[in-house]
Amino acid sequence: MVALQLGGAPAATLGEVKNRADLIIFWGSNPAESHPRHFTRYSGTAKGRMNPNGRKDRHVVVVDIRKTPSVKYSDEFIQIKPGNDYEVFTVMRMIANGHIPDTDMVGGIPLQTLIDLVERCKKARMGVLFFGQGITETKGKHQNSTAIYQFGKDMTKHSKFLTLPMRGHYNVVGSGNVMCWQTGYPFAVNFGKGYPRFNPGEFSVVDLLLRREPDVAVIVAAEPIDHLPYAAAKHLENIPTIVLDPRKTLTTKIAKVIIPVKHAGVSVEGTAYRMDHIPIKMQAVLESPWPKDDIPLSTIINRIKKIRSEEKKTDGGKAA
Amino acid sequence: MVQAKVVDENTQVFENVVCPFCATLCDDITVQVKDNKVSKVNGCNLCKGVFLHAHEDWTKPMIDGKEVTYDLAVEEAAQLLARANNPLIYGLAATDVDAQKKCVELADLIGANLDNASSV
Ligand code: SF4
Repeated sequence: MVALQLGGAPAATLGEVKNRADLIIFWGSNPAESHPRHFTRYSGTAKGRMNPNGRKDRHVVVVDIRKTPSVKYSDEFIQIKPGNDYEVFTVMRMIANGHIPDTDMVGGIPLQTLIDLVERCKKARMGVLFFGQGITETKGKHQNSTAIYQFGKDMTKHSKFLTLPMRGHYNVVGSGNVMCWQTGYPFAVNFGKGYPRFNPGEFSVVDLLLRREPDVAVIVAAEPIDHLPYAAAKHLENIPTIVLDPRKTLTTKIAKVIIPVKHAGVSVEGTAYRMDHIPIKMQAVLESPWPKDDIPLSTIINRIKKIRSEEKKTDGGKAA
Repeated sequence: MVQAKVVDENTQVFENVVCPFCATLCDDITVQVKDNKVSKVNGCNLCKGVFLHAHEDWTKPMIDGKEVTYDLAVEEAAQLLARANNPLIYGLAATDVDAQKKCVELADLIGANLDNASSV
């Protein structure tokens, strides 16, 4: 996300990927396990306008630190040494710009393999590099994604080329979009001064929790106890944590207050953003006795406003 | 809302359902529901995991591990947040945009930190 703010990137829908792309690269992403139908619907076997034969019309490359289950669906597997993504992308940018470094191997990859890969990217009708958590959660974090976006930019001089993150949770894109639209920033926002301030590292969840700053937490449709580093998640056990979730999780186990809600996309309709930023309307198939999560949130908002106005009144009374 | 095909008194079939699991958001899932439980679904394994278990382990309104009324749980949350000095609102990735928007409104009202899984 920070990388995107620094560099910008061309975008396309998954439909365009399906119809046009003849080169697909999964870098640090294992769609066979994390997004199982991505390959069949859009990026691998799917037939498209310019890819009438589906899989045969695409060259698929997997770059990863180990032979993941996705490798067997690819044409080419390139094994990279852990933590070397930044270095490899930097060298690929050098190659793309006509500078061949004086070395045989980069990040565990033979130089010739990278030269061939860059050449393939340049020649593609449309190339798409999908990158996953293998990149964004290792050494270098957003610097890695910055290097990827810059490589993508270099490639657009030669071909149609896209660099797209393989987003995980079904509406993590929506959370970024809504926060951007409402506050101007996609995440790590603080309202302490009465206006939104953005500062990853200061107002991002792991950093806040590691510094044990929050005194009350509200967790909405997430599982921080399972997903965040243990040392950070532990602080949630020491403060009153309010959890809104349709189902019991490890986080509801440590909650002081649990507010049950309908399950979006299962027991209530709602809108979510696909990884390519296309809004999709979800349906309900089950019935649930609880309200949708925005309803208790509204009640809480109105109640706090009331508590505050009552406090003001009593304070005013005292002063007089 | 998708129109469900009614198979018998207790069974309905929903077509072109969206899978709320990963950000591929496949919109071609067929879901069969019997007695308010998903009895059949044709997505990938992750999708099956969501729908086939969706009726299990539902939460109930609770404070300190004890079941309470819905209103009481919401009131307790409001009281805690009205007195908070530096609250944190986190998550948002597995719900819809209306709830996300309400989270922003709440964060604005109480001067909270607001973050989602993009920062992790
Ligand atoms: S069906 Fe599988 S690939 Fe499609 S959204 Fe659900 S989990 Fe993702």
